[in-house]
Amino acid sequence: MLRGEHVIARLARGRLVPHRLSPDDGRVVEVARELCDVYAAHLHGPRSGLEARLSGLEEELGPRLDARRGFKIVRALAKLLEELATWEAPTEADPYTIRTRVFELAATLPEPPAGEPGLLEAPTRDDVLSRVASEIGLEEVSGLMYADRQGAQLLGAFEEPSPEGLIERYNVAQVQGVLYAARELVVDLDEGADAKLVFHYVKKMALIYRLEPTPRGYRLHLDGPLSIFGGTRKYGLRLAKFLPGLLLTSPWRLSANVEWKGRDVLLELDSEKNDLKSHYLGPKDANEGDDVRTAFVRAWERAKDTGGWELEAGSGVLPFPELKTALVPDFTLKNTTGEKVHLEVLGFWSERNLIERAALLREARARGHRVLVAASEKLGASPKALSEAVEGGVIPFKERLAVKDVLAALA
Amino acid sequence: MFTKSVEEVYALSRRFLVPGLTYATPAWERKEILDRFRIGRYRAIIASDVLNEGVDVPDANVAIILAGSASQREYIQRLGRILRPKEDKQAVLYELVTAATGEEAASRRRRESFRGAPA
Repeated sequence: MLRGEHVIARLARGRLVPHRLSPDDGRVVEVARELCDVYAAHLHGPRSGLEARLSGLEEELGPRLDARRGFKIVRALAKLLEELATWEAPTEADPYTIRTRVFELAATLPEPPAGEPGLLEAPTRDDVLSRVASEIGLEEVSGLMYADRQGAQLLGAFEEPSPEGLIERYNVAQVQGVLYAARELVVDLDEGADAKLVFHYVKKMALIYRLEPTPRGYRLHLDGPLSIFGGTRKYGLRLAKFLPGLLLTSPWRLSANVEWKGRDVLLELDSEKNDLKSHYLGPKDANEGDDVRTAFVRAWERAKDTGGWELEAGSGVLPFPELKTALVPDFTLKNTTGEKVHLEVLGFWSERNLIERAALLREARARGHRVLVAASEKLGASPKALSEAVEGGVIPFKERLAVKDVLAALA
Repeated sequence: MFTKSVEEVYALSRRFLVPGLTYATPAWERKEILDRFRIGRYRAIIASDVLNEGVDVPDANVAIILAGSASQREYIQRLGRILRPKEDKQAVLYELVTAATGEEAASRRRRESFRGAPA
């Protein structure tokens, strides 16, 4: 993921075109390779040295890519490499304790007036340092004094990508960067696209969605960070992180309203017309977990009494054709009499989204479906909208969704 | 002591074994250092720009500016660190300027603008 300052895009006929590097361009591959090599060669070296070297390379390699923006491209590539790095503290000793001891001892050194005899015998800087060295049993005390600074961290591990792999990440990251300033994203998932996989990432990133069945599949509306109030940075990052998930399947068409340099512009992507490659491994990736839902399943399993209800994973899309909409519940609850209730846990929510969801619940109930919706108090900005929604049957929660609250709603 | 850059703070702190303060210093450590300075347990502090504003060190009577910027605002703020009212207090401000470099002009400009500043 890039920071806003790394994002480069141009406008062409009202459409926003994120910057792209060609993996077939020898110069580009060469620059990418050089950056990967510099990183790899720096293994176990301090961060400050690597950063100095990289900022030198901005000047050196940048012009080879682009006369004007080359330095920015190199900086962005370096930022992406940093995400593949693991940093380690250079020492197990506590630098704070060491420097504080040094300062305290140094502050007690006498300062005889220069005119008095004995100046040469007075304790010195070296005496302080060697005394602290013997106290802590470590050499190089002055070097350890600020070993907790970021620049002193050592490059402990680096998952070196291929130059082409780095270029692929860059191209995806530039599109992601543009999405930080999106108002709305519309994805048309055509037949053949793995909708379940896409919803997995919608849920995982806790995005605000609305789903519309279409003759060929689904139209997925996702709110952008600019559409919600507060927490926009965090939400923007989540929305950006959804993109590599979407890239795992096809066919789809995406269009996003984006604010770019004060103008509303359109970003369009077609899975069949771009060569963007995801670096995600898919939903089975062990590193992927969802705290709220996983914690709820665990709490459910531990609960002594669940009133005869059993919890199952959601079965996928729950269509409401009469309402021209659909839901993707996270769980299905079944009881011994064969009754079935769906439960959806909302991630981020906006006032509009919550009102729509509450209305949908009423409609669903009128049509004989039982759907429960839980919403986090922390992931939305309007306590008033939430309390109105709660009156309409939405289950509120703080950190964790409580089993008893769900059971109370089932009763 | 006031420096121009954060790196200088750390370099000089290591060299003179004097506590350094920068934007990166955690709030609790900054407070501890300033408290110890106020009660005289530390005799000097070296800082980049964190001491410019909002920190009261009434007992400081010497300030050393190591190649400061030409900013009048910064100069007054730094001077203000040592000019806190106290009876019989006399304070000295030193400027360390490297001859025949841009630092000379920067020093001249900040003092000139200061002279012209409203009292």
